[in-house]
Amino acid sequence: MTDVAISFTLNGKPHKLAVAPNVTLADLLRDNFALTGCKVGCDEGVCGACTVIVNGAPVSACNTFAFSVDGRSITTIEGLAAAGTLHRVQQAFLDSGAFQCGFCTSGMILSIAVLLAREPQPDEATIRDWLAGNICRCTGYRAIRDAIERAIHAAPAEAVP
Amino acid sequence: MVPRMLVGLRSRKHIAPFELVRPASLDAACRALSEPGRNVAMAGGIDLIDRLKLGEPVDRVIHLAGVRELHGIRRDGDAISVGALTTHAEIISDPVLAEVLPDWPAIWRGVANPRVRHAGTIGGNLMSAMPHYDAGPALLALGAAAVTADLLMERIRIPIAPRQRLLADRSLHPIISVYLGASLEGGKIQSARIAVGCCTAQPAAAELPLAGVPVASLGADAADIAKKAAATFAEPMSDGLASGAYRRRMIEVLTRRLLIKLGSQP
Repeated sequence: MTDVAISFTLNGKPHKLAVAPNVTLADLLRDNFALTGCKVGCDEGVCGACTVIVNGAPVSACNTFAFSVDGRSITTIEGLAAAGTLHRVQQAFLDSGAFQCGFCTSGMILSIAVLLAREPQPDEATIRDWLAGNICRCTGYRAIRDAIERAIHAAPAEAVP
Repeated sequence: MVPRMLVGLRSRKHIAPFELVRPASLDAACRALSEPGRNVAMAGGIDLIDRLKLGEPVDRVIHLAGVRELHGIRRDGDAISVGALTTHAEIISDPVLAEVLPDWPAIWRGVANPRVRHAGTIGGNLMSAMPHYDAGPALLALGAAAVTADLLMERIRIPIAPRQRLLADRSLHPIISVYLGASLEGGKIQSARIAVGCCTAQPAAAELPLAGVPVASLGADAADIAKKAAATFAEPMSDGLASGAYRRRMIEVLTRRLLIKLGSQP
């Protein structure tokens, strides 16, 4: 198996390394960079716990090969806060107490951050569609839905890196 | 680095080693797929990565992303040509489809989740051949045909009538999904086709004998048309989700609903 040379930006910093083709993005983030906020839940791309942002789009890191992020920009939950200030979705989750065990939270926050960057005022159907891709077995979604409402009204919309 | 202990205890599945091939042209991709050994084409990778985690033995993965011929949606005479690597998100936001076949992107907004729609491709959806996937029945209902290059699906060609409709009932998915494609002209049906997913190993379609029928009259005859159409399909499968008899009954019920819906929007 021949390694593949890739370069990418991770949480704002450029990186260059060689990866084996069979390494997933989740493995790369967790094992090489200790970014354990990328949780591996179902390991099948369904539960959304491993969601990270690649070039502004939500991606299942467990279901993506590391080689395919060559030339791209990745943001994990560890890189979402800017200079010590929480992203407004992070702050809204905190203010609404929108988590219990926390396993789904990083993926949930990254998904909603992308949604609000694309659609600052999403309708109910759109919010439900995006939430349906991130599974939470604790909260019953009520507090999460409240947090999204809070984030929508928290203004000013910042760009997702 | 994460402590060795943690890595040792993790439950994540591992993928066996393989060689990666990244062709830059359709010719190179076809050549790579014909090399001796176990070769597999990768589009979005959603199903492939799952299959590799489950232990499917593969020598080479041919990553198609760099093959330009497989990308893009364009008009092709009286048809639309959709590249096999077109993602579901691209179908949803494409200006050509929005103009000539707006029903398709509208339905596609509700398929899967945002991550899958961003990475998953129309070609991958078809070639994965999963009975519950939606591209097969949707494209069958539209009378689409695959354009192939050697071992690869290159593009999908969808004939477009002056007024082409596509309606779907996915409310019972993944037990059954039913798609109704119809070309209309002057308030009358030119041709109509029903296609069913989740019921057999491959999606199946049936022509509806409705040429010349006024769209507005569909509601009154929907039950009869749906009953006859449902009877033409092969016996649906029984599994942990539903029996074959239930699925057959639902082909009829959902077809009837779609006909009534089409009749109410002449």
